[in-house]
Amino acid sequence: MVYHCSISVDASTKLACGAAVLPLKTQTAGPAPHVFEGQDVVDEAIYLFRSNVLFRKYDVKGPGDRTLIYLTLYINACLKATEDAKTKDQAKKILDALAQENFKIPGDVGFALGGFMAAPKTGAEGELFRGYMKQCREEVSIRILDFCFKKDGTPDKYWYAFAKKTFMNKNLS
Amino acid sequence: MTTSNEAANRPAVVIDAGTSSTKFGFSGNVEPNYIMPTVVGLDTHNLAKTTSARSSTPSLKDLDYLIGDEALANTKKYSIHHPITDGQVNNWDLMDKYWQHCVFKYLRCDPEDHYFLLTEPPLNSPENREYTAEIMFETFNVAGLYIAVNSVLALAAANPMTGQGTDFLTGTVVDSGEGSTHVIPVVDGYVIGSSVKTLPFAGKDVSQFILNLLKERGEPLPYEAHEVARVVKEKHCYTCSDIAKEFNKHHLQPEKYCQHLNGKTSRGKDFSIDLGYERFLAPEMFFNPDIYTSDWSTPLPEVIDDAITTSPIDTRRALYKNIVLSGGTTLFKDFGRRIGRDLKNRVKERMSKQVRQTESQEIEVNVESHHMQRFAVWFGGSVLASTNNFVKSVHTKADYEEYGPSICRMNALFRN
Repeated sequence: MVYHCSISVDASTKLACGAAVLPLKTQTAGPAPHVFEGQDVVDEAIYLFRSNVLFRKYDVKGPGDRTLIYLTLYINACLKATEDAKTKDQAKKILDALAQENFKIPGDVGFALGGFMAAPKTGAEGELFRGYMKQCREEVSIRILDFCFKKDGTPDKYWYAFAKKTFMNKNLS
Repeated sequence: MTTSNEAANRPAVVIDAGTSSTKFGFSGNVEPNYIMPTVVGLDTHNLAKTTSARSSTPSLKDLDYLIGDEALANTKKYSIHHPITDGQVNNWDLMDKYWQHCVFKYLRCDPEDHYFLLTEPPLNSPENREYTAEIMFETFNVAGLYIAVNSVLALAAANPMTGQGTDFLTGTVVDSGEGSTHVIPVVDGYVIGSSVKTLPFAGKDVSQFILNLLKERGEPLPYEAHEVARVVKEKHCYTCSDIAKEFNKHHLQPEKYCQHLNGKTSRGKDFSIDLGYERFLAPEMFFNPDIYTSDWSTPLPEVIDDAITTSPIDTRRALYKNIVLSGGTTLFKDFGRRIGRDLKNRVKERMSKQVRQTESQEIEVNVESHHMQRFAVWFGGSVLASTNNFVKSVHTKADYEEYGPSICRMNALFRN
């Protein structure tokens, strides 16, 4: 069974195309609320990544789940992009570039999770989604390297083996 | 001519022939004397002759075949055939040959002096029992024959000491070998045929999954990769309680969880591979089949629950209370505990959803793990064939000669 997002979503959480705008432990600017301790949604996505990526189907139980699966796809994309990087610095450059890339949002043609997230109803919602996911992507790019590279700076094969897996047979473009 | 009395004083021969491996030996022993693959290796030039073995003129070429490990070691000269598929015999000629080698070449006993206990899968047809009886009495001239259902023997293996009552003959058998996994509810020694459930994966799929994971990670596997996967499966795998937690444990303490496998290939080269998450992911496929295959998505605890809930309602408590594991693939560490935990949670959830909150007792779910799981069926046969009542229930040569092979369609259940 797939793992679901355990961060609580209440009335004050904003929703962007069905995905919850959950708090992040980040210094970057953006629409995400700030939180300073505990496990935020990016930490959870990384913790659950290797388990969730093995499954072919995902049943969404709440808006937090949609954020989680977007992040899972992005982590997969990060691993694929840095598969051949030999040092942590090389990988960092690749991931920084990947985070800044112009990415698709729900409603665009070819958006990978079109079945899970509806198109934005207003321009502001689309902007919220784009702004929030950009923050998330930057956070993942920073944090994932501590996991997929070992303490001595070499790639960890137990993480890079999952670069070959595809979550629900989808790829984030 | 040996009378039945003398055969009763000798240990019986117990043969448990499964799809992948056959266990045989003498009753009264704790372990079978031989465990070998159920394969017959035929000399390729003589294939045409084997189909009419008994009617054509006997020649020495008919005797030129091998079984088991020897056959697999000599595949250049002997082509491999499997007489049993899905637990049932599909080629009686080959089965006859297999039994001949078992009795005369390996056990080296005179079948006239012994009773024989053979096993059959549940829902086996009565005609198959007759064919077996014919071969046993005509070709081998056995002193007596009893054909037992393998699930009942597995139940007897889990509770060999209970002599009182018939509780030990009621329970759910989870039998997972190399080819397929079955969940078989048995009540008072009778299999409830309509509730038998099958999962399409077992031991060889677990090995294949391990192989896939190792290859994906780029481990330097030697030529005999399947053998390596089998060793990993049998010696290094364990069942975890939660895969995300387990991944985390492996990540934080690699020196404790990641093991190494060193060995020599058959050509003498050394190889060394690292083992990581496949140690707990492989048995996990029974609880989350999605991670391995897209053909099947019902986890094993759910299948067991379905099998029990489709059984007669008055038997269900007893079936939950005595869930017995058998077969090599159930030997993973903590496999029984995990099944028990998941099944208990399912049952509790269902009970809590009931509209009428009656004062019913909690349903006790109990999964038995015991030391004899690997050949539970053979061990059960060995135990039952050593009891006094076995002698009364076995069909003797005299009965066969008077009434014919149809008497072997029915094999009476007996209690200690």
